[in-house]
Amino acid sequence: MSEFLQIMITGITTGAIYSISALGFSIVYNATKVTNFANGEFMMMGGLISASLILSGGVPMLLAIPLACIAVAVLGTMIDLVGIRWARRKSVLSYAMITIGFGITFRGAMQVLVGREILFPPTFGGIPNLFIGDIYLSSQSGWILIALVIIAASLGFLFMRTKLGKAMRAASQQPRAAALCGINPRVMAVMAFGMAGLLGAVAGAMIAPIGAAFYEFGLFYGLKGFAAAVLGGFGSSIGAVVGGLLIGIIESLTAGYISSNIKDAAALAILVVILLVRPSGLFGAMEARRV
Amino acid sequence: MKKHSFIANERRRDLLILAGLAAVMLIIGIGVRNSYYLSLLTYASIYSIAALGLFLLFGYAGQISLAQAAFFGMGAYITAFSTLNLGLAPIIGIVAAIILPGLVGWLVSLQLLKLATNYLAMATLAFGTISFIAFSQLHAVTGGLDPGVIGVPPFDLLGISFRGPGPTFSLVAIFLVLTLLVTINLIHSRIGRALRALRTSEVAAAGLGIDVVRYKVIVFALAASMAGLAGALFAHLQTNFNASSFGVGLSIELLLMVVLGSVFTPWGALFGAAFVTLLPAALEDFDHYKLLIYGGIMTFSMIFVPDGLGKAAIDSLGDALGRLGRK
Repeated sequence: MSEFLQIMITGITTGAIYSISALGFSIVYNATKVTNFANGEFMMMGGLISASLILSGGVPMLLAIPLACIAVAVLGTMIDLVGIRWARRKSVLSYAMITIGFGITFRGAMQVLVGREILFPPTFGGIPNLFIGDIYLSSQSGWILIALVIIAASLGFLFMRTKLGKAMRAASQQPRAAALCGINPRVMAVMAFGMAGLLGAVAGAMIAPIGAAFYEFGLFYGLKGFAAAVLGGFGSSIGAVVGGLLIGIIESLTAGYISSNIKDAAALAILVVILLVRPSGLFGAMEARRV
Repeated sequence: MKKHSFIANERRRDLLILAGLAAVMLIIGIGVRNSYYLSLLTYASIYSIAALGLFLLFGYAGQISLAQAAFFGMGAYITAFSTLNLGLAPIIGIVAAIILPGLVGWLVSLQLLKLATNYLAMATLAFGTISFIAFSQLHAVTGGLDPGVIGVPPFDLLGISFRGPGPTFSLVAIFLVLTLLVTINLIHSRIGRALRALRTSEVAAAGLGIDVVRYKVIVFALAASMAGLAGALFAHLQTNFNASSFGVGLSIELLLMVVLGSVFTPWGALFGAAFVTLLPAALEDFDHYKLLIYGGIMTFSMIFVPDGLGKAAIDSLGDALGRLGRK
């Protein structure tokens, strides 16, 4: 039993990171209908910039992580300000391809600025490693779980209770009608990309002490976040959280009871099966239809 | 002179360009002796074949797929298995590498074609990733990541062995011309017009009596076959390879080739494949700035030339030729 609980805790910790990444996909999609394939690079950059500031720059962690998050958020807004807004063709596909281009550019930029080393920043510390009976919860896992709860709760508060969140939702549902009510959809789009950058950077900085930081990790994080967002239903925030946790738990169970070599394959196979039954994910609005 | 319809004229024009391309490739195959340039052109031609498949599926029929690398890998392993383990003639390996991935593609698309947009992208991406994991884990057949497959013999047919850079390029060029012939005839046929209708609106296409499901499955299987053929040629060219060549990165690159070239014409896929293959080689001297410059060029062209650099290049070439003709 304790082995099972231990595996679940590991799964929920990794899943929490996928959830935060998936929330980035969902925020951008809800505000702009763009699928942002550079989302995984936000995580990569958050981890790499903070690790590099701490290890090479000697910047204290309490300063390095916020700095990294702000930097990535600014880079995120660039996708909208430089890419999406200047796009010669205003189509969803064209936007998606632009984000792929930005993803490669970000990877290249990190290679130049930080280098090609794999960096291992120190863990956050502060909260102790917990032993509850036989079950072990490392301090970094604790931080990740706390972060997911805080992020999910504050996003829920933002979108449901504040004027800004309501404006963002309005702008995505009916850009024209929202504009007539005095909401500027362009400002909302920039903010969405900035928020996705911020969230991605937080997730990246939190996973880096466990999983290392490297300029090529973005594709992996992007795949996981995208999978979580699709599983939950693209654009649904609850779906993003549930999808991420589910994928993390399936991976962890496969790794624990079968083999860690096939954990990614198992999670994706289950994802495909779920999609065949529910073509728009668990919480998604009906988009595909049966043919 | 007999009058032809607009469609017949378009097809004749494409076939004429193909004849010109075949002539150019013949000259390259005989004339170019530099093995580095020849091998770059061979890789570009192989990726062109796979990109043409994706052009039909994505550019023409509007169905996104991030699974092309999986079919490419299947083709490579099928060829390697049939020549190395079964001792069959390479031509049988290549035929199998065309048919089997097509069959798998047919089976996969029957399941996945009800999905759309992000969900279709994710499902094909999942299939591609699972295949990659299978390639790297099924050591008995694929050799996994290390050592992989070693010593695929060069292609030979009727006693002629295609060994060395020149003959290998000629071999790949022959298959590329054949693939283009199929592609051009297909897009100017009833099937091609049905696929184009499908891209614009599935509902409208169905309303016109087009069997949407059947055409989606056909084009997905065809794209898989072309990727399989490209993979088989890749195996003969490389002789030694491992699973790392068939990751998700390849699927994304193939997509970039099609979009960067042009989703409207098969020549775009050729242009895109050449561009994406040759650009990194040209940037080799820039060392760790390489990826940044590459990404910058990609982003720039996606923003400002969304119809594809290939189409822009072809259009301006056509204009120049037209002006020459008028003089």
